[in-house]
Amino acid sequence: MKKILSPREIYLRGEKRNKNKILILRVAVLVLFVALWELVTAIGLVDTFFVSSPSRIFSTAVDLFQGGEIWRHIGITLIECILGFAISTVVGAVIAVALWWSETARKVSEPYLVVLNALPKIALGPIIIIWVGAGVKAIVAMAFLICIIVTVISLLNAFVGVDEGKIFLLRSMGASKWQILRKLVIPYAIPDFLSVLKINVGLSWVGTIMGEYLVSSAGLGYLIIYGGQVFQIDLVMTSTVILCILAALMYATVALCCKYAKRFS
Amino acid sequence: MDILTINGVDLTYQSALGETQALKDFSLTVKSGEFVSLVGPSGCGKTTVLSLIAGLISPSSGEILLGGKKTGEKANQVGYMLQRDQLFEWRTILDNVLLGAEIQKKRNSLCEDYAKNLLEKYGLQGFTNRYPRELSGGMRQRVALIRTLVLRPEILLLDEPFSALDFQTRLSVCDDVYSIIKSENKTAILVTHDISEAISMSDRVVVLSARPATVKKIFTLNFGQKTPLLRRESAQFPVSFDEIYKEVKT
Ligand SMILES: Nc1ncnc2c1ncn2[C@@H]1O[C@H](COP(=O)(O)OP(=O)(O)OP(=O)(O)O)[C@@H](O)[C@H]1O
Ligand SMILES: [Mg+2]
Repeated sequence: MKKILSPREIYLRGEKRNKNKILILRVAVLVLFVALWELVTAIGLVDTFFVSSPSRIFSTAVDLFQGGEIWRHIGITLIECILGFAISTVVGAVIAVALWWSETARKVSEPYLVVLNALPKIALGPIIIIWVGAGVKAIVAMAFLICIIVTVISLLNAFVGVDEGKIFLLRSMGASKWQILRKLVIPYAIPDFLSVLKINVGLSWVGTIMGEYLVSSAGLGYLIIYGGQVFQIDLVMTSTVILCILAALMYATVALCCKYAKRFS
Repeated sequence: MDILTINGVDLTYQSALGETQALKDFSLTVKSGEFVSLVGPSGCGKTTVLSLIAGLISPSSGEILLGGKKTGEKANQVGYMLQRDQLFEWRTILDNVLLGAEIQKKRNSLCEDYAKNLLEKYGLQGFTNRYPRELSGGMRQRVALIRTLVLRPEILLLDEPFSALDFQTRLSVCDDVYSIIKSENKTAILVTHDISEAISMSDRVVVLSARPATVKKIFTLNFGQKTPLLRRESAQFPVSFDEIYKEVKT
């Protein structure tokens, strides 16, 4: 005999089905895309010289990993990206605190922040190369520049958005500015800090790859550019796919850390 | 014994738009253990009086004596309770209550015990390790009061502490706060827009003039130790209300 379900059970079952449906559709989109790509290239409808193909990407990847050279490229790009991310986050947070501390500094820096934020950072590429040389340093500098302004602006916004009433309360208890920062402003801004982290992961990848396009002799961005110059679309596509996977992994790591930090705090 | 003496205080705010004289020749004395309410038109300078007592701003002229000492630039031993409870969402109830002690670097097991005692005494046992979002509006306001009591202040300053609550909660929280303050034997100054609230809680009601605020008239009430809810039922209540209302209106 069939069990009679309560409205709650029916609702929950529907929710679960809906969730499964979304997941299946997501995977289906990917599979369909790859299959279609493979099909049109296999029957010669589109030339693999221009679009490569999933099977060629796969075999190129196998070759690259067997050759072992790819690990060096991945390593370099990862290090550049993580350095750019870490340095810009730390330095940006320190600057934001300093600007919160001094109203004069905040007001003075305001127009500069606006301009720097609007400026396409890639325009600074040649200057960076002249100043720090055309190596890993220049690429880290590029990632740093792209992340730092956003970090400073978002954190500062969070800091100055603290409820005046809470500051008033702390002052009535005799709190110093340092205590207001530590007990109120920083804990209050933690959710914003976590979202800045997530934004910065994406931006530091932009900076790193852009930097590698400008100057580099190794790294995934270098492989992409090199592949493009010698018309090796397979290499370009394979490097791009590896890049996608790395960026997604790094984002997932940061998102996981954020989730953990949120539960912890 | 007079715990607070405000003597001929003037206060003028300076800002880009010009000068605002908030207080003019303002004088008031408050006895230890007394409950005094300030009522007056909005923007007249009530919060300013509390900020002066707390030592957050200094008078342009005149003097303020708290416990016989002149108030200075540094914050005084006062407990400030604001319109909204201002609990920190990321701190547990116990950590919220101990905020002031932490700020003044006095947090130790003694004062933690005192805080836990107060929480227990006033119906918040079992919530010490919970977070503010798990509490009702009335409970949050009680936590805010206990946060001010933990520092054992000489005087409590209450700036429209109930105005964010709905009417039902307001009446009961008012009762709670009154009995807590009385049983802890504290002096309190309440700022409110609500004349009936002022009458239901205070020994004296001070009516302020429009800005710049001066003391217009002081009403002494004779309800003894009756709680706010009982006062509201007494025959004297509407009489006092009319008297004070007339004074506020003109
Ligand atoms: N920091 C300040 N700078 C300049 N003017 C101020 C400042 N604080 C208050 N004022 C002005 O002083 C006057 C009195 O302010 P206060 O906050 O003491 O009034 P209030 O009686 O508490 O008002 P409300 O009933 O709205 O709470 C107001 O006109 C206000 O605009
Ligand atoms: Mg006010």
